[in-house]
Amino acid sequence: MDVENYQDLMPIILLGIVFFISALGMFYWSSKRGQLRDFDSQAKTIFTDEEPEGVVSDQFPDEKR
Amino acid sequence: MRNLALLFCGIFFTLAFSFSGLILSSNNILGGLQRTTETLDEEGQLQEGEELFPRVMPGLAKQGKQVYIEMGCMYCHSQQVRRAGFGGDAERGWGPRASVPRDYITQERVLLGTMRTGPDLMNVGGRPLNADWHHLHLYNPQITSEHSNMPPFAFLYEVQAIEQSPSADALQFPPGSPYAPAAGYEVVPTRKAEALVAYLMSLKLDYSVPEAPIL
Amino acid sequence: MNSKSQTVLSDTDAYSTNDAGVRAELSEIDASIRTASIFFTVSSVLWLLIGSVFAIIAAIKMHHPDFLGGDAWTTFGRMRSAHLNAMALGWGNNVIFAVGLWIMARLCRSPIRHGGLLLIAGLFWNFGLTLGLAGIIFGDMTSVEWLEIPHYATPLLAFSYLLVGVWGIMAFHFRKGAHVYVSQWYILAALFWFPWLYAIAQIMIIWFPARGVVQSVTNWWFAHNVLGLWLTPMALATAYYLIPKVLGRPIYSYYLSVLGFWSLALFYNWAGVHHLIGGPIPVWLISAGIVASVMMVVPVVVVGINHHMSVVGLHRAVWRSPALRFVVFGSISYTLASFVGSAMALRSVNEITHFTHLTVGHAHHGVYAFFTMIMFGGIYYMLPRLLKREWPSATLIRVHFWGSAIGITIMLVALHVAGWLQGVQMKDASIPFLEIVQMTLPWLKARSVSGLFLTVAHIAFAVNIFWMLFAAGSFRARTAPTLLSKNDGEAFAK
Repeated sequence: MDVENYQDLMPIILLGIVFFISALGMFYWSSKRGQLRDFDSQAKTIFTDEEPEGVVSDQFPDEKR
Repeated sequence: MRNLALLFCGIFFTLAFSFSGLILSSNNILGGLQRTTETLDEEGQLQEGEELFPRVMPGLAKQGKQVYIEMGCMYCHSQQVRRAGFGGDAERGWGPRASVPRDYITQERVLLGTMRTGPDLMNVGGRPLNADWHHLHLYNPQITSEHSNMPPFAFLYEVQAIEQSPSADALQFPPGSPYAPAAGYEVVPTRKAEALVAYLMSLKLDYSVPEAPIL
Repeated sequence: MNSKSQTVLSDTDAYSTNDAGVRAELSEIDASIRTASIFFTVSSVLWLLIGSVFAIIAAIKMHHPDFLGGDAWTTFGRMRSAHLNAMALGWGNNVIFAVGLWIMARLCRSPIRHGGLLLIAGLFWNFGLTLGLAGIIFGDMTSVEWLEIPHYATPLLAFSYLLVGVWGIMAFHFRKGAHVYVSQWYILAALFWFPWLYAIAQIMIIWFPARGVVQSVTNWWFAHNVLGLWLTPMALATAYYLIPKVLGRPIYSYYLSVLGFWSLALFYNWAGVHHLIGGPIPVWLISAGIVASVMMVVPVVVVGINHHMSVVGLHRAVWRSPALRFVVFGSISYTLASFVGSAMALRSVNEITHFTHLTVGHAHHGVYAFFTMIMFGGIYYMLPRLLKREWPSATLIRVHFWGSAIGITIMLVALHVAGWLQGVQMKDASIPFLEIVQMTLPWLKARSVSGLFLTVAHIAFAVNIFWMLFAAGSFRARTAPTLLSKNDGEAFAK
């Protein structure tokens, strides 16, 4: 079934444009606010003193290290 | 990205975008569909005095649809005919035309289905299969369709002793069928089986609509 | 385990950043969420076993339709639906609550509050699901895909979820430390998306049904998004956490993970319509769904690169880690399943694959080979840390891994081949339908065999878990599970 009148799609096209612009806006805002910086330390946040970086932390229970 | 509000905005908007784009917009376009006559007159209005389609289901068939739903028939049978040239639906005689949104507007639960372990049923009522065939097939599909993997629905039937003469609605088994009851017994449909068959017989795609005429 | 001095490696200078005094040690956080996570783990495994039983019954019925064919309550349509819901909501949701909330708690760096809420939620969830499955089996199934549970059970699920969802968002809100990790975005997003999907679908299909095929559009927006916006993000969160964590090396590119997250959020949402290609809905809607399905290649490739490059050079460590065997299997499956899925959305391919067993195969590629395998890995990593015990049996772990890997591979091959042939033959009207059915039977038998492999694997998993839980004392590690200690070369006594 084809669209009889593409005007029916106009609301959703406009909506899409609105979303696109607000998405761009949010990315711009977040980069200004420093949300998109400092990725290295954000990537290391999973490590701690107890389970530090550089150590393999899982193995089979019958294997010696 | 550390800000909860920012994340929330993005997470919310992506969902809202697809919801409005897919669901709200299709509701917008399709929600107002009404029943129609098979053709429209010169001004694009419904033809005077002609039957409206899609048909409204009779009561017994509606009850049968409930049986169809509670047995999960939809999980092996679809109810949609794809257009000619896309898949073999038309060539297999599963419908004289593609099914369109308007065909489903009178249904409270739409059972399009996504599997064809068994054939499509959109137009099963339009095939040369009578109620007796359906009863035999439902009682045990092997009777009419050997090597079918459709489950048997013998629990929708009752085996009872024949009093004086056989019931009018007793199933007529082929001679020598291993599924026929013992001598002196007959198999009769319960109300659920009658309803289910009435539902199946009501599934017909034998009418045109202006946007999809039968050619 | 209630004070910082009990941690295994305290007072090292290595990693702590400026707010270390505020962030809690992992062992404290683990202790605080222990009861809830173990409850959810046990629930998930029980449902996995129950779901496997339904699966085997349904699978056998496909080639031996008379099997258990005497009663309405074991008819194929109900068994299949019971299987789907037991697995999706029983195994899936419970394991997500077990592992996902634990990862969220750890990354939020604070011992959890209101763990009791989670327990109440878990009880309501399991009760609601039991009621729902009974409803399906005894005749109240809705015949709406992924929403088969009757309306009287869904409010229990909704209430349970409300507790979990609010808890998750609050945990994030009260996080300590300035950093947020990619897994937290995925978990947060999934926690938010799922209830909205479910509620909208319930309202627009079951409670106040929309007109005609609008129901179908809603149905497949919902059902596909359960896969893409609930199961997928939770599995990706787990993989993003475990791969670098186990290997001791940060994820390859954090920037790529930002791109992956937002592109998934954008495209996956629209892909669900591909279930209706060729169907009675407007063509432009279908086209939008196809475009989104193909665009999914972007987030999938991004995640694939990230995971692959994070593992490069450390393949031996992956193989030697139970958790990562499963997680990396899952991660590779994610890439493969998604590429197959994008291909299936193309009209020319879909003409063949739609309505066939290939769809079922593809679904299991995603929910089992990807989601389930990753969550298995999550449990293998999490449980020793919660219980401070070792896994009792390495053999059972290997049986589990090989049973699952072989089983799912057989299933995928059987269903993809059967489905493709089925589709090709269905297109040729000169081939009688019953002949096509007969052609599929050997492949469906192979699928049943694969189900046996999987069930054996699941039993091995369950045995190991219950052994670990209840054989207290025999496997308690001396200081901490050897999986954790880095210098402690001695194996603990068995």
